[in-house]
Amino acid sequence: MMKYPFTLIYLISSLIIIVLPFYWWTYDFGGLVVIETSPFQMSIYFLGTFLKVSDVISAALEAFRIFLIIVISRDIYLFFKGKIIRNRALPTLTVSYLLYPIIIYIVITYLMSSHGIYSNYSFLEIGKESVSVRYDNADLLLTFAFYPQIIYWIALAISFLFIPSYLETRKLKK
Amino acid sequence: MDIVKLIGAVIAIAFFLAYVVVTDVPANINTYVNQPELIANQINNIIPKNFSISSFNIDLANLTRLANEYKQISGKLSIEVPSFYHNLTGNLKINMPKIPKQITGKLMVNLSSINVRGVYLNIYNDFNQSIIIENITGKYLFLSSEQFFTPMEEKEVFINITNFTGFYELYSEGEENVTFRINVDGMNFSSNMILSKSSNVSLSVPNYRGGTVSVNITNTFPYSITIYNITGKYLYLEKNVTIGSNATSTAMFYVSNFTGFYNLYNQSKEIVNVSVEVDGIKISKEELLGKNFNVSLPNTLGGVVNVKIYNPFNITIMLYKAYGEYFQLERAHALRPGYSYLPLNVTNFYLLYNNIKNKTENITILVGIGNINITKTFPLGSSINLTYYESGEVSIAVSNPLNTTLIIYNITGKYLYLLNKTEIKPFSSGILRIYVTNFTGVPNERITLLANVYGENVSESFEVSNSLSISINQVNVPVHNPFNETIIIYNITGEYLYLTKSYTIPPGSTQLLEIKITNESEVFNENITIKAQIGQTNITYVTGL
Repeated sequence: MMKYPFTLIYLISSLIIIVLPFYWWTYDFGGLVVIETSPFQMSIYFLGTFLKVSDVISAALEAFRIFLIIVISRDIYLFFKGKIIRNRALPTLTVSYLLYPIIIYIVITYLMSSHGIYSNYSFLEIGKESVSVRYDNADLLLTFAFYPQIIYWIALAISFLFIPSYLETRKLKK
Repeated sequence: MDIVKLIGAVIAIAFFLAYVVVTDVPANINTYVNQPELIANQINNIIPKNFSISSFNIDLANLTRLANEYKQISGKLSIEVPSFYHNLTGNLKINMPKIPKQITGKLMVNLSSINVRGVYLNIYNDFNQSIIIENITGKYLFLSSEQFFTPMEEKEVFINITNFTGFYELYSEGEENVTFRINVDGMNFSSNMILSKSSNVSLSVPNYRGGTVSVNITNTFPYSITIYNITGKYLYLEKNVTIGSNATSTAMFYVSNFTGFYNLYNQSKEIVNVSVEVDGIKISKEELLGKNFNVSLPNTLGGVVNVKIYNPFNITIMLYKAYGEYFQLERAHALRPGYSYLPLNVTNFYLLYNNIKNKTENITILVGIGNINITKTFPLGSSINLTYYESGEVSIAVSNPLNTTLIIYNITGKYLYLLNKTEIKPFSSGILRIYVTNFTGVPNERITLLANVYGENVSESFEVSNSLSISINQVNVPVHNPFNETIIIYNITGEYLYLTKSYTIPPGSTQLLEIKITNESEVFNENITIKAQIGQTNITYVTGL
């Protein structure tokens, strides 16, 4: 059983990350829209006001969290029973977060062009960017800030444990 | 199929469905969809729109015009008060009793005997007064020495004859005319008689004696007079006497020399010093005492006097008020150019004229020239220059176009100020009474206005110019921040308006934004630029008003 320490650490810490009710990323669109998100919960603020639809989305995400907790708990149980099942959930979630800014870029660019909004917004993966927006007779100067929380970096680090875990359990699969 | 994954999926879906059911998501679906739009719409609420402009105009162009006109006009306003009201002439009628001014008596002359050398006369002095016979002369007669007679004395007097034949011839024919020269108390008298057996020489001798005389004095003045003294060469008043108007009182005089007094009295040449009191005014003066004792006394009565007033301008001016210590103009008069006569009510002529004489009676006038009211005080009897450097009160009509009461506390400048706080009701007009201390300074003056509009105190400083109008344009626009983000409004600018300072509006609170408008008629046609910050977003928003 102790032949697969990475797998054990990976599984247990994955469970901890999933259980912890912290947001992973914050997308701040000049303070007008602020989205705090993790794969298991989400808050959207529009002009400082919490959008109630966030709760519905969060409910779905929380359901996903429950599902993952059950599944990973089962995997840990089986691990101690000596049966190894590979779980790719966490790496899939953490890595996919790196793709979100691309999705945001596509969505925003689409929305702007369809509404006749002119902007100098160029793709932002992480960090800050000043974006000036011209719409009708309003000029807006927004600061887009996309940044992950520490919990995300931890989750990402744990995700990387999947590689040694994969390697150490490779023979088992064969 | 992995049974555990299936169970997990079922539980997860059950959880979600439970949430959907418990919170009734389908019923709230509109809320979820509309909420962002509702929030977005609130942005419109924070943009100040459709505000009414609190503005009012005080058109001081009129004041400037008047000030300029006023520079041109100047003239001397004079008020003349006739002096004949000064005195009341009246009579103190003095009814002197018949007192003996002369004593008449006789010298009883009896011819005792005649011889060649002379004549013996028996003379009896019938006077109760001593006399001296200085001489007794006829054509052929003369007395050799003066003869002194005490009262009631009788004695023989010898008279020399120069030519007996001549004398006797005349005597026989009854033509011997004899002249007696008599001295009484140093005064000489002569009396003639025809010498006969028995004859009388009648003499009238002045009464040099004195005594107390009671005299009736009638006062024809329209007021009571107390006579303290009437002192002349031959008389004085023993005790003061008060005589009512048109009444007669008895005064006790002491006359020291009846004849001397009567001589002067009959010719009205007795100069007396009279001291009287009239209405508490004591007067001493010299008058001539006669049968008609005309005394000129002060007129302490009041009455109406017509004064001559000169309007130096070629326009009709208003005299609203004119008053002094002892007089007052009863009502306002319009004064045509040139001279006019106005009735003044005088309370005491004597005191008025006395003041004029002493240059202590001032007249205060309120004159309206055009729309300028000028109050001036100057000595009565002189004239006053109304020239460009004068001060005066100006009335200016102000209309209040607002639906709130406009309170103007003060208008102050170097050369003008508001006389009293003025409140002007909504949609009505009022009059500002402005006192100008120097009209020449007004056109370029910088003045400060303190007012209250919509309960807000407004202080505005501006320059008086030829086409002056005061515009107090300030809008207080309430702006509510409905968001959970702090809003900072940096600036609202337009060609004709501006925000006085930047405002930070905390989430959920409301602030009054003070916006100044420089041109209230054009302001609605312009676009304004709002610079604000919501969250970390700077917004520059251009909108029409």
